Amino acid sequence: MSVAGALLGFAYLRGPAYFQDLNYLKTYVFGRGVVLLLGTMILAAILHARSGGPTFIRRIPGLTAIDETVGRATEMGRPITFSLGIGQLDVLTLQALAVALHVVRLAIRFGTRVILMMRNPTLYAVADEAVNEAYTAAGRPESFNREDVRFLSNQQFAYASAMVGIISRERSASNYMFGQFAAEALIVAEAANQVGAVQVAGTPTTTQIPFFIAACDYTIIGDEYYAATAYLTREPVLSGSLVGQDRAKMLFLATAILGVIAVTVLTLMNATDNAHTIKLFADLFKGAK
Amino acid sequence: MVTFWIAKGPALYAAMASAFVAAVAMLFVVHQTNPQFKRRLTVLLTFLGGLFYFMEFFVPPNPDTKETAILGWSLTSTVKLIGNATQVIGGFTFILGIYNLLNVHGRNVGRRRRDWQYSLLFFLGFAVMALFAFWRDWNVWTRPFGVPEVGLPSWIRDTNAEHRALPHDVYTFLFEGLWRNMEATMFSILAFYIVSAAYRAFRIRSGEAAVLMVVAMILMMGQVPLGMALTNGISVDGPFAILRIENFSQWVLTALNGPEQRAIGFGLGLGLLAMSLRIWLSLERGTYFGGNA
Amino acid sequence: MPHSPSASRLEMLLGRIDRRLVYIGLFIVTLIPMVRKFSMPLYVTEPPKLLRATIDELPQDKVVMISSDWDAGTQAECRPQMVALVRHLIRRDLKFVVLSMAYPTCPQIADQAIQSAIRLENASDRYVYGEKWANLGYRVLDDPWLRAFTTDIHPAIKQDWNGTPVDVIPVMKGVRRFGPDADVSMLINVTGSDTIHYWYQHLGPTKAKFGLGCTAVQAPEQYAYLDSGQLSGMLTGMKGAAEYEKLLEIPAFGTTGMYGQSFAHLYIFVLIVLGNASVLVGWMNRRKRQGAV
Repeated sequence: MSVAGALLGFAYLRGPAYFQDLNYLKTYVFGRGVVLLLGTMILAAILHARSGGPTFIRRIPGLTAIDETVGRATEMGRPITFSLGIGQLDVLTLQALAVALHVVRLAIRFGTRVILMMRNPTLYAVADEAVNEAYTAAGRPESFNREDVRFLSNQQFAYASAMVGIISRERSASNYMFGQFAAEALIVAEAANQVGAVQVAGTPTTTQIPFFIAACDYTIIGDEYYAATAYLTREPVLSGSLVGQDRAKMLFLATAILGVIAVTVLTLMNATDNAHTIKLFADLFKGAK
Repeated sequence: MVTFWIAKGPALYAAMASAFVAAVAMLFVVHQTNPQFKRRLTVLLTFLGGLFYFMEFFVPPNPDTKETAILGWSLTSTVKLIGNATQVIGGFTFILGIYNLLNVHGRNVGRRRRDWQYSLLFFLGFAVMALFAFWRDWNVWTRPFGVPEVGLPSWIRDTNAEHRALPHDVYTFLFEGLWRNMEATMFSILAFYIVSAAYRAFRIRSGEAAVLMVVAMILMMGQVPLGMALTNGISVDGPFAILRIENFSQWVLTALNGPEQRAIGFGLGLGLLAMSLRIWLSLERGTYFGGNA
Repeated sequence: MPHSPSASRLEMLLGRIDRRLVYIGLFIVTLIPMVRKFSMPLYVTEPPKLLRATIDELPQDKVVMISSDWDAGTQAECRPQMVALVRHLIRRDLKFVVLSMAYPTCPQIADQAIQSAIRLENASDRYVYGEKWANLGYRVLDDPWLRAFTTDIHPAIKQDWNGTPVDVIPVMKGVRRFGPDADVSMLINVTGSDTIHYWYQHLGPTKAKFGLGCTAVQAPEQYAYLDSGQLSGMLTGMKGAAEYEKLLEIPAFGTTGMYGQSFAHLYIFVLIVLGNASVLVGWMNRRKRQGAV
């Protein structure tokens, strides 16, 4: 942070003239400063966790249910289906792939088949290789069936109808849906429900969460989605990042509460000029880009 | 836009061939190295790639051009160049995806597995769409190679200006007439599924489920005239106007749902930031490759 | 006491209606009110009123940009919104241009909706293509491009949907920047796709007005932006279209569609009640049996 502060000071004094314009700072600098501050808080927590002991993570029922649902598929002798959503090869979908690989590794141990389905061909290339390596690492490269990692279509509803078809034909015992979803979310979840599959879904797309809650047995919402790898592996480094996230959230909460208290008190005292100062502070981030 | 070199004519083919040979050679060399080196190389490349995007985002841009530059090097223009390159790489992975489709469905047909007829339909759809799409754009495809243009029948490429909005050719028929309607049909299934999901899920089994159900019912009725008719007796301007169902549901959406959406948004944003940092700095080791079963 | 077969049957009857019957029921209750029109009250909420007021205050020498990002799947909600909004622009004699970023099929259905709005307003003479409005066609949604587009429109877009160079289209003459004092005073995003956040991000610094017409599913996320003033009005799904039609006193498909939606919501309401009644019956049965034991 001090490095960033020094750089900003240098830019203000010796940089282009626009660095001295408050509007420019509001639009292009303050917002970046906040992101940098939050990033630093998370990174500090990660580095601290590396040297420290285990971190407590509250129970997330959807992720706890993964072991049980893989076991259910094994008992029923039916395959598991896993959809990676409609996203590209980005951070959101990589998190979904991380959960998928956890399920695959568990399923290898139980000798259960996992059908992994995706919409993006670049993601397919990565997923195919990662699943292959999971089988090799488990000492069962011969069990890996390339047909079980499936690129279905890059068109949203063609992808959805292909998933519905696979889930119905294979009569999946457990269905997982992680990643970005849109209108196809409920279509697939209902299809899985019709074959009696137990379903676990997680998505950062908030518009689809109500559909998942209605149709699935377990739903992972909000930032629980990004806590998945930390929760499943219990790696100190990953858990540390959760601590960092929580501290950053506390900062947001403290700012919001302080703002509310300050404005309320100043309004009650009829000191509107001071309330104006607080509004000016809040406006520092208005229109930030 | 950063432009290194624009090749034309024979130089273009030479450049393409050289790039291909260089890529194969590079892959061969990397393949010969030990796994530890490969891992280090991946970590290094991930870090450098991430650092570039980090700088492009965090160094504030010039307000006039909105471009970020360091010592005269426009990072924003380079982002566009890299964007184009990744699109090309993404295009190549399509070949892999299509290979996967052909492989799976080919085996289904070849071994007469259950429902193999659907796989046959896949081949038919794939071939027909590809044929008429390529045929329609034949001149577009062959132009860079200096091939003289050929006349295409109007049922392959309709050039009639009056039909510009909806050309009367086979490809448009397949795309607009079939594919678009099939997409809309799949989407409309959602309406039926939400009814069966609501019927099954909204049952009072706990206190939370009861709250969820009651709020859902109020919102549902508050959105439609029939629901509005229920509280029609309450004056629009009177002191109890908030009890009108449309006003109450609007209050739920703005006063309760709004802050909750923001809270989830903050959490998701921070989660995304943390995950990005973990991937950039390769802290997620073992998650994707090299993990133990 | 033996298991009570009649109560069990009742529980089954209420709680496990065959899903095919549920689907047929939905089809019928949605269709009938749309064919046989009913008279029901419709009250306009604040977000559409705000949107109307914003458009009413737009200067006539500036251009309004419509980002039309809906296609066949979401046309039931977005098309009536688009038609009503364009009719309002025509009534205000404002110039507008349309751009699509979600799907390649968007420009065509946007075109059809605009033509329909022009016909309904009897404005074919006044609203000549190129003079008062233009369709800029489809552009792949890509961050660097959108950043360039919101910085300077002209270099970022070369031709319209028909392939006519933008330089020779009168309505696009001198149109370069977004903003209250620049050439494009407002952007209206009518969308069924994930385009809204891109506009928040890139339109914010230009201070241009931002109006939204989105599907009902997307709406809950947007109230926070309405609250913060980043949105200058919003239409939510078919209800938003019906409210806007009511504001302009032009009842059309949005209004008719709301009758169908009313009965569909009522149908879901009834099903939820039936589902819960089955839970209650089951609970009473179990209590009776336990009491007997």
